[in-house]
Amino acid sequence: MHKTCAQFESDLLLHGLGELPYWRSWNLSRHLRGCGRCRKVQAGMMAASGRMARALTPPGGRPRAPRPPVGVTQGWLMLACIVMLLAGSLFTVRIAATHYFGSSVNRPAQGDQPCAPGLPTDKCR
Amino acid sequence: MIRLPKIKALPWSAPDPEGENVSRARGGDRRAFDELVSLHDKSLRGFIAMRVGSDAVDDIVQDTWTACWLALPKFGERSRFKAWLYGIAANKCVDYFRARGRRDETSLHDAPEIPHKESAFGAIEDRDAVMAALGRLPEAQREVVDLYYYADLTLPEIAEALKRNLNTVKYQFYRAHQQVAQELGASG
Repeated sequence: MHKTCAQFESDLLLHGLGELPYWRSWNLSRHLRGCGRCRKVQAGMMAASGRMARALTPPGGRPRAPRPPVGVTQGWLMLACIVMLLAGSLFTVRIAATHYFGSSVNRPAQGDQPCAPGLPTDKCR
Repeated sequence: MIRLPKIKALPWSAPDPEGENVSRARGGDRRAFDELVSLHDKSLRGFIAMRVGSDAVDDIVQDTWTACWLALPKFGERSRFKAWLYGIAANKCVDYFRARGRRDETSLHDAPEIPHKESAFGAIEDRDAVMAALGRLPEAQREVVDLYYYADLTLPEIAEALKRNLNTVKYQFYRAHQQVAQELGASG
């Protein structure tokens, strides 16, 4: 599902200032890559933000600097890391399950069989 | 055998002098409170001057610190002390405006005298234009912008300090920028 530019508009400033949550920031970065109109609106907002930051600098302080938003590549890398982590976790769980519980799963059914010398069953005791 | 250096304190458990002072001040330690005052007073004074003008600054700063001292035992330490302190100051400014009946238009003469390194005429002129645009913002938006840029608080901290919904704060922040951008764009 794609958001339209109007739906993104209120997020443009927060994106430029690095204030958006990670995945929303990434989503908007991807949109901005292909949308010149939104890039222009964001540039206007960020210019105003920079001027406000300079005008409202506390005495002896420095203007508040924006944090970088989540880049498109950075988001893809994070997504790849999460997928790899999940796949690794699933693989580990599967290996552990096979190693520790595999023998009980594959144990031959002995339910109705009587005690026999070759069978490791309690019925023989 | 490799000898690893001894770690005295882990980065996340490094002592926070302000946090210690806040804890001691909560327990009634006057000296710790004085240290907090000396640490924050200058910027707090600038913040209040920017909001109410230079005439009433001393009274409001005094009221803010008194309220801070009285309310410190109730301070949860869940939030940052600075955010909490600026929340008190913002409320004191609102009380001041309420007592006066209305907020005066922020004139350029009321703007705090902030020393600036830029001596170029253009930079000063630009600052004046921005301050004039900021002066025309609604009070609620102006508060959010001041706390963000001047007090260096995050948007969630501002929401907590002003006891507003975070989405409301984000919207006010956005609207303020939209209006200032329009005005500055129109004025060149």
